[in-house]
Amino acid sequence: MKTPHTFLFVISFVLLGLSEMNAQQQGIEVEDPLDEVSSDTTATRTKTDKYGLRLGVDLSKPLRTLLDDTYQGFEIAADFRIRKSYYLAAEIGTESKQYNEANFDSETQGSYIKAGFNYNIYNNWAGMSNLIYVGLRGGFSTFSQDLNSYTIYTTDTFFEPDLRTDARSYDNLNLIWIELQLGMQVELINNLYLGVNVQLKRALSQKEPEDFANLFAPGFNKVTTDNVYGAGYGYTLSYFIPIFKK
Amino acid sequence: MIKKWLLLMLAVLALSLSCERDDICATSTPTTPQLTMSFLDADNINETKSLNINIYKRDKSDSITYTDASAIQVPLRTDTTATILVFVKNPNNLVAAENPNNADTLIFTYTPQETFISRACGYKVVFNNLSIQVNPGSDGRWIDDFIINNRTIADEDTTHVFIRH
Repeated sequence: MKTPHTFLFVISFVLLGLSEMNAQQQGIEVEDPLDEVSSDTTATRTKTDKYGLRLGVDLSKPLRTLLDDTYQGFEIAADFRIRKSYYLAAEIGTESKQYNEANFDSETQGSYIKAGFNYNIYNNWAGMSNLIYVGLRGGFSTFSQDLNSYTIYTTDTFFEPDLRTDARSYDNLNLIWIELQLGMQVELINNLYLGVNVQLKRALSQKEPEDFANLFAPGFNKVTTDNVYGAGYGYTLSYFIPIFKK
Repeated sequence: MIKKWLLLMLAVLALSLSCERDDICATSTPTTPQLTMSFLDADNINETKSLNINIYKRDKSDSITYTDASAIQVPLRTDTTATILVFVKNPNNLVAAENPNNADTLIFTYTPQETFISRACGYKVVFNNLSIQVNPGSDGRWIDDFIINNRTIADEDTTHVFIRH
């Protein structure tokens, strides 16, 4: 019974963090009676655990690149098992995003690194090594922003809109954040894993242009004016390179 | 069981994406200010005196109309350092008791200063070092005098210019 409670705690935490979904939380409690998990805890003692490096790419970013004309992105994700339930984990990637808003047209591009650990909360049957994990990351993003054109905002329409096309570039911008991940890794065939995760981020600090704002940060996603939270997701396909067994 | 988790994550994902706020510039946000003007009695500076007034672009292509107004708001051009507007008192009223259909041209000169507001609103312009020149034209002046109360037009909370007529 302990495990489902851990699950529920984590789900609750993520849902509370995302802040508007009490109804969803109740729905999960009802439809997820995981009583049978406790019955095989003794069997797990005898199994052999594989330790090694899992290396993969985030499929969602190339897919979004194809579907969204204003976006380009690529990410490599890796984790390394250090304890029975703990994995060191990191992601490195590059992203660019254009914003063609009513009042301006801009593009942000740069790269990021995220590092931290995953804690596996899933009790595998003997011989299996799937993960359902909670992860924590520190993220650092460095990027530049181009302001291609903008219109001075006025509430009257007496004069023609004042469109300015003197392009500007802002370099050496950055954003630092912490991130909570909830995800899973399922072994499809021998050592090939499909992973999915959701990410809740909180910005800690950022370097902004003086006469403009950070609109997007690679790895963090959309940056909004008076909100420090961000969200993201990933679908990874990865290969596990076994190094030793315990 | 794994499938249930997959569904849960897709649900969380859908919710996290729908959480994004729409970035619409709120009407309460101060953006590019308009020049605020109040009209005073030429004989008694302590008394406001309302009037009917039309404000035209110099080429008369567009106008703003105020009826029986003691205070008005006038837009200034943000893309240059001067705005020329024709102020017509008692427009199209040729039998008015004073200044019938009288046009005075006002030349506002200033230093526009661009400021970033927010993602939703973009940029605004505030106007510094305002000065005004009045050209009464062939029909004589209806503006007896003007007082610049505030040379910096950064908001619409105070009257920037008083006009006596």
